Amino acid sequence: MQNSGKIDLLQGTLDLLILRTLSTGSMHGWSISERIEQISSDVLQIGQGSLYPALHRLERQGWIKAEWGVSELGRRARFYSLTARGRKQLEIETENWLRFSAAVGHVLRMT
Amino acid sequence: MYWKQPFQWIRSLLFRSRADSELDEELKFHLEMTQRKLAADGSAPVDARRQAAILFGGTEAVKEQCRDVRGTRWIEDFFKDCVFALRLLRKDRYYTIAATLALALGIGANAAVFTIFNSVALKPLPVPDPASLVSINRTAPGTPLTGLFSFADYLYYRDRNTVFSSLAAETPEHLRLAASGSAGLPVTTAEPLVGLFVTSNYLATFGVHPVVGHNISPEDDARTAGPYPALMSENYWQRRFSGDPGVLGQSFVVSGVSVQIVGITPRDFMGTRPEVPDIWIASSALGDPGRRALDRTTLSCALTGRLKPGITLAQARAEFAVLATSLKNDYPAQARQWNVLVSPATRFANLHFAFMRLYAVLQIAMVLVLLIACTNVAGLLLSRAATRQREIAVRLSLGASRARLVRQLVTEGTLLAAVAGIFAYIFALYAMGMISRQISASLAAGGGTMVIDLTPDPRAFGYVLVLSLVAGISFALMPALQSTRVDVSSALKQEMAGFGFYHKGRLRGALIAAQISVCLALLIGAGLLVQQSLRVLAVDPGFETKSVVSLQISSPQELGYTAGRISELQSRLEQRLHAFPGLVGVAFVSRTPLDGNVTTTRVTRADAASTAEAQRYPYTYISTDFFKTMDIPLRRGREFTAEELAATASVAVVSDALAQRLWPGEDAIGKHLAVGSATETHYYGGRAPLSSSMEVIGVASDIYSQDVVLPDPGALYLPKPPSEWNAIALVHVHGDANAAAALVNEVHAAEPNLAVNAETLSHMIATGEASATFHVSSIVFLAIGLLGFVLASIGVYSMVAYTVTQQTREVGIRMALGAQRGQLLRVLLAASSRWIAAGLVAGVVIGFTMVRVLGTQIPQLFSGAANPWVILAVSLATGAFAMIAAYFPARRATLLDPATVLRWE
Repeated sequence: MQNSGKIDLLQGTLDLLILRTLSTGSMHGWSISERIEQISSDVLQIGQGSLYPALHRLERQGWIKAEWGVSELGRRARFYSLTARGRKQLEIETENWLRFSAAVGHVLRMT
Repeated sequence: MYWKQPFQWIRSLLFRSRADSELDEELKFHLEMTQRKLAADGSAPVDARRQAAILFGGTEAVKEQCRDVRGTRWIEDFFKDCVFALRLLRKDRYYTIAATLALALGIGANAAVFTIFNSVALKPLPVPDPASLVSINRTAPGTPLTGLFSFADYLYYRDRNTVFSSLAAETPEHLRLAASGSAGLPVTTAEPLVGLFVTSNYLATFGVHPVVGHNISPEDDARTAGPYPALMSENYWQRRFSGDPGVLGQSFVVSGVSVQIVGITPRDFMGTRPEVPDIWIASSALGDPGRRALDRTTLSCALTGRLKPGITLAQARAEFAVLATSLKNDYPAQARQWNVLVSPATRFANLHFAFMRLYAVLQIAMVLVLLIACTNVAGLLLSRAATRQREIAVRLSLGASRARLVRQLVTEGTLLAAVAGIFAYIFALYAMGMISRQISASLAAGGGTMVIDLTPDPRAFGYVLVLSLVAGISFALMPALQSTRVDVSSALKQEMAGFGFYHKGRLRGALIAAQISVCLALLIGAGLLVQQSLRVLAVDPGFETKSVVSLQISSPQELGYTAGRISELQSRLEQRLHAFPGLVGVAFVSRTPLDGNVTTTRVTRADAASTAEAQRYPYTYISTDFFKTMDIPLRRGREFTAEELAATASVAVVSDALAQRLWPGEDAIGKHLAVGSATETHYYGGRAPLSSSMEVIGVASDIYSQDVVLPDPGALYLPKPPSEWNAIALVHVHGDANAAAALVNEVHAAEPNLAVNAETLSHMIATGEASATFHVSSIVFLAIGLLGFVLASIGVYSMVAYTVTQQTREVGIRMALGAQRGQLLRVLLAASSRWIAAGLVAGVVIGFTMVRVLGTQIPQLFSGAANPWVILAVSLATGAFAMIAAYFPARRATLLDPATVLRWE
């Protein structure tokens, strides 16, 4: 079986990535997905079909907020930014993720 | 920012289109950026756009997901479903009308019954602070029946309780208004009145005051002679005397007692009675108050009390339990095993249990009808869902979830039910108004004013709404689940339903069977009731009814006659009557059999230990020639003689049953009876029989004198005291249909100012309350049964029509292959007839059980063995109708041209 190189992201993980990305500043949807792709060296590619539903969900939960602004194209675009609660949520989720991945690592390394 | 949530939510809902266009814009932006990136990487613009679009995936799908996330989805869906459903319903007009009609009838019937129940039992009494009014009843362990108290017991409770600020006693009676004391307000015939004998604190207990005049005063509770103070209801005052203020202060004679009107009670005030009484009379009119205070055996009073402020019902219950026990200890002989029931006062105070049972029966019947209606509509829905098979399959293939589709179909059904519910409510109000007017009119014969308040009530409306929703969801769910369990590919290819969907055929068949069985059960119940009421009409009460006229004559005492003149008038009247052409016999009695009045007394053998524990039997004072006049055969002995009457001899005639009971196997003639007890009173100043030794001189056949269902357990006939005015004359005239009118003339010829009420006994019985109950019940049940029948027929017809339509292709093929029409018909009908037969069997079983159960609950109506011929006839009729309903669509299918059928798509 060939490794296609694509990894399917779980919903919770996607939320975490989006929150982390937005913690560096406010950006629109396109930028978010580009940034994640760049930093992960194209390993993590977020389909638009998952990105926007996730963004709207995070917005509804109050962790990010959105505003219309002018994009680099000169067109309107919706810019997302982290809220205070979002910041707190980011901390919680980061910690959960680190604990989770450490645990998985332990299990993988066992003999 | 949780507080923002509801705002966002509402905003999403209201500004849906704006939110949608914003989303659109956002996604377009993303697409454009992707394009630019691809172009920058080296693809041609056209390719870039295409690539971008592919990468992007279905825009619509993304939008859908985003919308889902918004959380307002289900409301939007609901509105969409409603709009779609409305469009569909409008398109299939006939189906919509049929289904709405069926549902409206089913729901409407239920709403009607509930409205009556609500207005009679649930609505609080229209008096100040109804929650603190309490009814007190006597109960016995083991039966749900409640009873009345004696006046002495009432005094006991009144004087010893600490929980009531006021405790009143009432005694209902059917009375006759005989004459007015002055010439100003003529009363020409003896009119029936509904009366209530009350203690002076009765109105105060209810918090009600006379609108004109004044109340009965406390001193009148101790009155020993007439005229007794009385109040008239405003309803009666307006109806009978047109609100003439001259009524106040007037004296009337009511069933031999002189009363004077001192006040008028407010319109529609009826205490805890089922109807508005015409007259309230001071209770001292029932008999000497001193004697009544000691009489613990005459049970005639219902009690109503008002709790003191701050006292709860539980406290009252506790105290009365203690009082009841101490009463039993103080008077062990009379109190027996009775307990006391303290409950909130409602309209049908001591008829509560009987009424509740009747209501329960009606409600069950109505639910059954609704069930038929629902299965009916479920069948229709199933048929329709099947014709929409293709649409459903397409939707499923486009990615709709099954849950979503089921939701849509159920919404459709519920919408239908809601619309039907509105019609049902209107229909119910209208029907109820009509029915209550009918009932009032037919019961008005006995006096009183029936007031059924049917103004629309939010509670009733809420009930109808809930019922509609429940009905809608329940009958839409099954077909919805069924039709979405579809093999998508074969449905898209439009394969015929007859071949692969056998499980659906079972559901359809089961629905047919269910409708038929419920309908049959109802009809069996109705048939039994009709049978009973016919039997009641036909029952021979043991005496002549058609040719005997009862004359109720007012007393000349009110006209100012002296005792001497009275007896002279009496003999003159008797002479005239004896000379009447065609006369068979004349007798004077204290009460007419089956007139609704029953007087009872204790009867034992004279050599028995005491009369205290003896059984009670109905008695009548009679004159000579009674048995000849009434055509009651005398088994042994003879009638009273004139000399015995004049001397008030201690002689008696007993009925056969009584003679057998007291002296089994022996000849009762010459034996002696002990009758009555010293503490008993008789109403209206008349004498209760009391004798330690009466000789039996005759034994008469048994008759029905109390009601038309059961013969008397035994009857006693006593000689009429000569000093009493003969208020009721029974005249047996041979061959004259208009005897009644002629007899009235005879009486008036003797004394023109006497008020006379004349009617044949058969007329009196037929219009009496007992018969009326039967007639009303049987009509109601018959109507219900027919309603169910109509619904079931519609159901069967539509089901079979649908089945046949589905099998049209198969029919065409068979016909093309040479099958005969008759054969095809048989095949088409075969399955349906199996289900119809199953339904009939189930219906007989259910009907039988239902009648049995009802027989234990309401024996007066449902006792008596169900005639097996009736059941057979009804079953066959139902089966025949069902087969006819199935025949027509089947026949139509076989008449089709096979070529057309095969070409049909």
